[in-house]
Amino acid sequence: MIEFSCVTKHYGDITAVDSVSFRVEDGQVCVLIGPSGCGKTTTLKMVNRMLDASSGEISINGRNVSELAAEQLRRGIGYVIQSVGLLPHMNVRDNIAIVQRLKRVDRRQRYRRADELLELIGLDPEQYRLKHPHELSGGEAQRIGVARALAADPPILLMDEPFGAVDPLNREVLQTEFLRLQRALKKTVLFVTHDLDEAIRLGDTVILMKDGQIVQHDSPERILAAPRNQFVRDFVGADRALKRLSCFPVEGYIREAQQIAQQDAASFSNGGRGPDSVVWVYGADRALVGMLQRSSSGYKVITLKPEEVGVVPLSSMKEALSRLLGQGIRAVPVLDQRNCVIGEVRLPDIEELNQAVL
Amino acid sequence: MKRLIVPPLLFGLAFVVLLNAELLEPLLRTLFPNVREILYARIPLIDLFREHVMMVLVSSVTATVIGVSLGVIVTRPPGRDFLTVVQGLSSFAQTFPPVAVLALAVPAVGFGFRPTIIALVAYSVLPILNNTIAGMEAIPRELTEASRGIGMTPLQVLFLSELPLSARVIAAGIRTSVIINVGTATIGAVVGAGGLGVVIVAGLVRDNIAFVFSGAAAAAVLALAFDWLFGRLETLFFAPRARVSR
Repeated sequence: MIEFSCVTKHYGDITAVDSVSFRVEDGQVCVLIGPSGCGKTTTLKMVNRMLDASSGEISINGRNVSELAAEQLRRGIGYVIQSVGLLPHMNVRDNIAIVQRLKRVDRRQRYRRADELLELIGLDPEQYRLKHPHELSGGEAQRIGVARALAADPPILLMDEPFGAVDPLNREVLQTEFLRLQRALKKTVLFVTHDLDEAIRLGDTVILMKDGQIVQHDSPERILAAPRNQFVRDFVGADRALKRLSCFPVEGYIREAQQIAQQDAASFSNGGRGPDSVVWVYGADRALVGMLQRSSSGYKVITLKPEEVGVVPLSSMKEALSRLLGQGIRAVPVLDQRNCVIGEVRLPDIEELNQAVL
Repeated sequence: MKRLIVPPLLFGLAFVVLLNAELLEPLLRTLFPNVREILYARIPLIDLFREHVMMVLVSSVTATVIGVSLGVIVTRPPGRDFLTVVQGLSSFAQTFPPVAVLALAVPAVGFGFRPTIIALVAYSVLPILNNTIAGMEAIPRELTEASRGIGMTPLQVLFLSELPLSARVIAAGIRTSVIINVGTATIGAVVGAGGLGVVIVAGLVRDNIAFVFSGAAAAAVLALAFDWLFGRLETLFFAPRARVSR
């Protein structure tokens, strides 16, 4: 548990953080968000004492952070930053193992742990452990950065705009990855972002800051549905209905999908289903290859690229909607890791979800 | 492979010929048929060569220690105030001709090896210091931030991230200094420090081109050999690898 009580930070005459109090419960993700200069990053950096508070108290599991040696404190807190900060002269394995090296864990154990973490973040250790940072893509480097933060298995993670420098497509993948990891690892996370969609999607609670003060600390749904004042209303924007869809993972809205093997597609006849029904066509390995569409002369198969149309159970409903609109279809397939269809998300469900609030 | 074998062979051959009186004599006779006293008889060239290498090594090691430590100190937060002062001083030291430094050092520490080392060090700290500062300043701030953030102590940040990251630039400075020192060390002869300068000075005094040639050639080959060696070390330690990638 991370607890702030009346924490203030001055830079000369400027008050960057003004008497902030909040609490992040164990295993929860708390997202700090706000316009630039609102003090969110300063707030984060005071937790691992990259900056020291001018007054007030920050405690982790009841212990005041100012009582601990800064280096010792930092080795017990995972830290992920936007620029990643992998050491360019060390390979991936040494980069991941660096915190344990500082903690004098022996080499064999460190390397075993590094391989474990590469597996965990979905990169093949054989292929990646000896690469150098300049050989990695932005998304890969960011994952390695997360792996490094997790190496010493700290209970707490601080993430400072970790996906800010990654392109939007990769960002969504990394967010999904983060949700998957968080579900398995249950860390206590303080997360800074300026991207509202990201905050809504990843946060258990969201803290909206302005001029060093907390404006609203609430669940993502409440922030969108019940903005406390005009500032919050402006910040979440007119499209808050759309943004709200980011709160919901697809997994709660999966419907059974009708699917058929590629070789049988030609002989398929409509089994009397309503206009919403889509029939997915799978090829070898049961992986999605297309969909069946009615045409004047019966049915034909339209080829689809799984990565362009499909979502995964941890994707947000907003993502599902954008796929729906982008592809001009009535349902999106929900895919597992091997691109097999495990269900679908339908437009009426999204509409219903949206009407529930407004 | 060729680059690993051919240069050392050439350097070895050149040293054997230059430092061995029996082999050097016929060479000098063909080159300078009109010179009567063809070999410097008082001290064998190989002894002068040894003194010369000694001067270069002692001064370069000293200059490296001073240059790198100063460079590190003035790039730390407490030392940052001295950055411009130190840079100014070392540039000033390099504008001084080494002979002038000798002239000032002799009254203070006497004749011989010591004033020469002082002159050489004063003259060769600059490239090392400048490169150390440049190397340190070129490290992206986020990288040292990240190093601190994962729990490195200031010393660990220095030895695990900053020095390895600037090593290539610092090494280039050391290389320059050593090469400069090989040439400048010849002035040591003026104050009795020995070295290859002895033959060159004797040659100049007696108008004997064979003496000048043998000293100058040995110093030149030594400089080339050091340069090659540093080149090899660089490719060995800083294998094909991007310096700083984001």
